[in-house]
Amino acid sequence: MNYVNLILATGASLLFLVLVFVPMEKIFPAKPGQKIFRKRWFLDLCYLLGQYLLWSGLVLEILTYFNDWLNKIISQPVRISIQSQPLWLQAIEVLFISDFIIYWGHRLQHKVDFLWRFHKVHHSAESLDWLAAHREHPLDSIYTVGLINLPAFIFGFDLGAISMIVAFRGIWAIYIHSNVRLPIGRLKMLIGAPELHHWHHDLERDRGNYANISPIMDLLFGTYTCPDKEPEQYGIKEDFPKTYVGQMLYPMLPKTIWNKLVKKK
Amino acid sequence: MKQSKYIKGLTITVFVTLIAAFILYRAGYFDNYLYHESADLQTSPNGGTISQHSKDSLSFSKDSLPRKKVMFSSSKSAVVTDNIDFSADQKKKFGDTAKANQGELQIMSSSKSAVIFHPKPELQIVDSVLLKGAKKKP
Repeated sequence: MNYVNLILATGASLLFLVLVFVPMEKIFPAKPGQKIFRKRWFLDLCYLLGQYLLWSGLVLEILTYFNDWLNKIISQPVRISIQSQPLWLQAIEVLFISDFIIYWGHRLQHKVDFLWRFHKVHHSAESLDWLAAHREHPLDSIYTVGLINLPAFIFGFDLGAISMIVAFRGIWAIYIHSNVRLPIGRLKMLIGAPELHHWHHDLERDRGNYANISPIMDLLFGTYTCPDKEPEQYGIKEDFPKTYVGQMLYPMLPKTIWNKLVKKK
Repeated sequence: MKQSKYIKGLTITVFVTLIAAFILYRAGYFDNYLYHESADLQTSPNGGTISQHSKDSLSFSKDSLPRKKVMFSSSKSAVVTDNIDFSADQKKKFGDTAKANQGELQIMSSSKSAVIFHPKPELQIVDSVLLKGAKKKP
């Protein structure tokens, strides 16, 4: 891999994201008092750089491996017949099934302590903006990305054919974390909005809004919440390391070993 | 301080434009501009196209045409860039068509992240006749 290109790509991505989201956060802030260089922004920058320079390639490799394995579960003729369906039907099927799986996968992340260990890295952010969206443990990424792509892996849905939708959902996922409040009316029921996801980041671990982008799954399963204000506080109630290395290691180590490490320091 | 309607309108316009541009970029519509020199592309002696194929490309392909492997990314992060490689060699490899990035394993985002730009995998010249032949095997 060409590391110069990787660094250039990371720089270009960072610049692009700044151009897209910072003006929105300044003009339509959800929390007007929040600064761009707010507390722990450098930690979140480390997460962004970590994702681009270290983890995304690894996650992709691992998922490619699983993809190779999973796409043999269903026979090739069946996969071809799925790919032969009209594009609009494939798009609806893959988005619905993916959203269904990730909704329940996400609820489990909040319910099961083992999964929460990794997922709470993302929820440890006490300020939400486009940069905080990148705070995610790589093992959490493998779980999340793996689940949402499971239908495509198994059934051979051609996501390339709906690459525009996939791209939109990618950038919108960052947007829903941004410090923006811009009412879009009923459209938010289809594509989601920051005001919904901000409530998911409320201090309460089981506040709701577990759906991926569109809140349809939350509406279906009764976890939709959208008060007419911003949450008082984001984050988690538990003690959690404040450094990048600490947050990387903490979920993977048994508590006794972690406590010994912290004591030594 | 209250923002003027013009500033608000301009901000939304820029936001929507950049997102639209990103979507088109990810769909490969700008590849012709980013990775040109298509005349230098090598082609298959059998008339096939140069494609990017990963290990399981056969299982994704209905025919010998290259197909893009797309995945949803995590809901926490998105890779913005597809590939930034300005070397002459890479320009030769990319850029034939707007679909030059086919074969890339794109991922679907969950609600947290999506990588915006990321390097593409190495390209591979694939003989379309061989691919067709391989596909027919059970």
